[in-house]
Amino acid sequence: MEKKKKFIFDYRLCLGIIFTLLIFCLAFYFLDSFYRIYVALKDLFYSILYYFYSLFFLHIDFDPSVVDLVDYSNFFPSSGSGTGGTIIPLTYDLFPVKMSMYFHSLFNLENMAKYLVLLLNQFSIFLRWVLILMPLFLVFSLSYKQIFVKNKSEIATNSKSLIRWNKLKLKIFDPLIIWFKNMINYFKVHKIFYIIWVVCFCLYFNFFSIAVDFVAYYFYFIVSFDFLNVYIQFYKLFLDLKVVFDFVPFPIFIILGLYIFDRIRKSHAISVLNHHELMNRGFINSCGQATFITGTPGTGKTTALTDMALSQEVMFRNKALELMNKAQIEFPYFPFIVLEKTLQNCFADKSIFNLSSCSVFARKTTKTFYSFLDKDDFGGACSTLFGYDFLTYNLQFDDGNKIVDFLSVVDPEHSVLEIYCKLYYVFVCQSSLIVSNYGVRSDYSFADIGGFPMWQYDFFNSSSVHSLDPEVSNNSHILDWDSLRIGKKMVENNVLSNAFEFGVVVITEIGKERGNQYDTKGMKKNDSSVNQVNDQFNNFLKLVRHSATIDNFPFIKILFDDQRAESLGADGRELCEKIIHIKEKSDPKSSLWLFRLESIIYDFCTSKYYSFHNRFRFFRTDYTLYSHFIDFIYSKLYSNYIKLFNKYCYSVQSVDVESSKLDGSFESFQYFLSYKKIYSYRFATDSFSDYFYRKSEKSGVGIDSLTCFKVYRATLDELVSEHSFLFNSLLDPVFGDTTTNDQDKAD
Amino acid sequence: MIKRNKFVDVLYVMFILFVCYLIGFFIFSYAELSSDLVSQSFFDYKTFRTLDNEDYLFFGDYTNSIFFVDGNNYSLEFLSYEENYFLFSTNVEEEEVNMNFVVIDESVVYNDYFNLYLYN
Repeated sequence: MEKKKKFIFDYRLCLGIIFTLLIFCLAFYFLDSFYRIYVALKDLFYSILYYFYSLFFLHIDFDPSVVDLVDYSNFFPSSGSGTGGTIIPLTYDLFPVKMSMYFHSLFNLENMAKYLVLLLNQFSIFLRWVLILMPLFLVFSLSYKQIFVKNKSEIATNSKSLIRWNKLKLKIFDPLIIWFKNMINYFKVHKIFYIIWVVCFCLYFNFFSIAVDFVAYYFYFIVSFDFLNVYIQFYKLFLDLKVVFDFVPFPIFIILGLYIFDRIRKSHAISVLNHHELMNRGFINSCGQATFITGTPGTGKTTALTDMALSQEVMFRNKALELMNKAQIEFPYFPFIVLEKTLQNCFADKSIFNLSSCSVFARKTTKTFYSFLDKDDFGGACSTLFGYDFLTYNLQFDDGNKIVDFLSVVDPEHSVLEIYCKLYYVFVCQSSLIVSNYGVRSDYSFADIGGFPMWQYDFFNSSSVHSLDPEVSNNSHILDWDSLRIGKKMVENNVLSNAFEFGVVVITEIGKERGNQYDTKGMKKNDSSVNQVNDQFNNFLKLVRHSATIDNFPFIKILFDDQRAESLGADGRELCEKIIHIKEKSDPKSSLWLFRLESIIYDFCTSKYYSFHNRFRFFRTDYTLYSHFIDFIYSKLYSNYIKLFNKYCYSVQSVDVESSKLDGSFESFQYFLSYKKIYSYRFATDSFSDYFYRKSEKSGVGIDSLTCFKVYRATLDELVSEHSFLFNSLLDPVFGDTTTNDQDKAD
Repeated sequence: MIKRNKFVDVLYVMFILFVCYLIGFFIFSYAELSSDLVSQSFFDYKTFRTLDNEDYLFFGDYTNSIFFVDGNNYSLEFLSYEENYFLFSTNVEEEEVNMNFVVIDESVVYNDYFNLYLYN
């Protein structure tokens, strides 16, 4: 037997209904708005009528009411609203007059005096509040000194006041907050309430009337071109909005104004950062295929290197998309979607895994197509070519310079099919395109809903949660140096040695890896083991663009960094078209308007807070209500400030760009480092730290184990214990081999 | 953190306060103008016709005292002259204006004193 569903009383529903009824009651306050919507609908009707009459050259024997003013007194004579009482003049003739009067009033002493009187009145109200709150301040300042006394309670205990506050919070504030959140969630789920409230207020505030009148005027205007009447529409707009100005308190407008200003300044800041990013990309493109970054420690070599790699990866994918679009417009009737789906299946079953396998696929398709064609099997040929009706549409495109073949047996490298397959592979390759000797994280999101997939590359609006999300993050590939060697390899038969074809090669501290002519002294080409001379790394760099070129564009970028350009041998160095010397990195700058004001407030509060906090921690081992509140307020301030700082600040690197021949000619540029882009766990500045960690871990001693000087002037034994080349060279002729003595002592 | 100079900070804060003061002043002035003049005299304009049949709008602050008397010259505080109207600050009461239609001799409009003519 089915049980009857029990009706469960939900007080939230009742509250929603009561609140909705209260909003309905407001209709008596906004009676004019009902008349206004009636007028607006009438305007719309006559305007549409006017539009069709004008279109069909019919005789118009009525006036479109949209050009008339709304006279509320017709409907609610008692309201006395009339048509006046708005904040702009009734006719356009009067508008400049009022502006003129307004301008004069700005230089009117009486008006200025009135304004000052108003400000003083407001200030006096403020002072009244200060007087009321003065006793509280006094109690506060007296109790402040009492805080900095050593407590007698145990460590990490709460003071009595804090315990009381926590109880109050637990019993009253927390449930209240939870209740409010619960109510908000309830109304979010039951959208009917939310919709009714929004509709009511849109009606009361004339927003519907404004929208309807706008459409009505549109219909009237596109056939009448009545420019003279535009002012009346503005007048009506202000008249309609007057309801909002009258009803909503002025402080709400200030809050709303600040909120809108905040949104505008943030949007502007993002556009500034995007502009910097585009400037950076232009700069990277101007630096050629291989670029060497140098600079003194702390100037941000590796930061700039990583930043360039991230931008270059985006540029490669964008370029692939651009070239694919070119191919699509050259053969507009080819079913590229079928080809793409076939390629996706091949990527999934690993039959296509690199650019060469793309070529194999395209060439095999070409061969099959022509074999069908030889047999005059046009159906088979059409189906091989993914259903392309090649008999109706062509297989060639004349670009003015040459004939571009869609399929070519003679020159398959330049056939559009092969090019498209390779470009699609580059574009949809979901792992990082960066190959580096340190980790680089990117977090572009890939979207594929069945059509053409797309990438989202926004560096400045991405969520900070992405930095810890392994599903969104793409880390760079580990550079296997054997893949950059075409001579001897470190690991014989290394399967990964031929894996690299295209991408962004990023190498930090290249000089320490490759060395210059002094470092490689003594190494020979015919050495049995691999070394920097016989691995033909430089030759690989010279030839790599051949493997990475698709449709005449090289999808390869090689980026190095080191402190000095001379750390790398001349041959390797000259492969880089440009050497970028980072001169200096600027202090942080903000792209956000008025951030300086926030910075001033933050710095002031920070100095006060830490002065309090450190003193408090020195004296006290417990937690008090006072420190609890201060910590709470400051943590909110800090959280807000640091988010704005990290999201909208940037540094400018001043760089000199020199030809790799080091001929002394420099060009100066600026490179922008956005904190949001580059400091979101993109790379580790201490990328080799694990080596030192393991080294220290094995040692079993720390800084405390190092012997200290007995007095400020070192003794001879202390100098000997330094194991210094300098002192050993000074001491040896006088005292003999001190190293041995020292070692003996140690033993 | 952003490096700043304290002196520049002070100037910056003073500048922002001044901008806030100005914004407040602009809003206040407009509100004052709208509340006083719109309700009392701004929209209460009269059309005057000159002897050469040109229409002019005459605006003024009519809130103070009587000044129109036939056949005499009168002092007006001239505010501006636009393409087809004159803007004055006067001290005329409204009921008196209704009694007299006034035209202004355009040739002397930029002077401090104007010849006022009656027009029926």
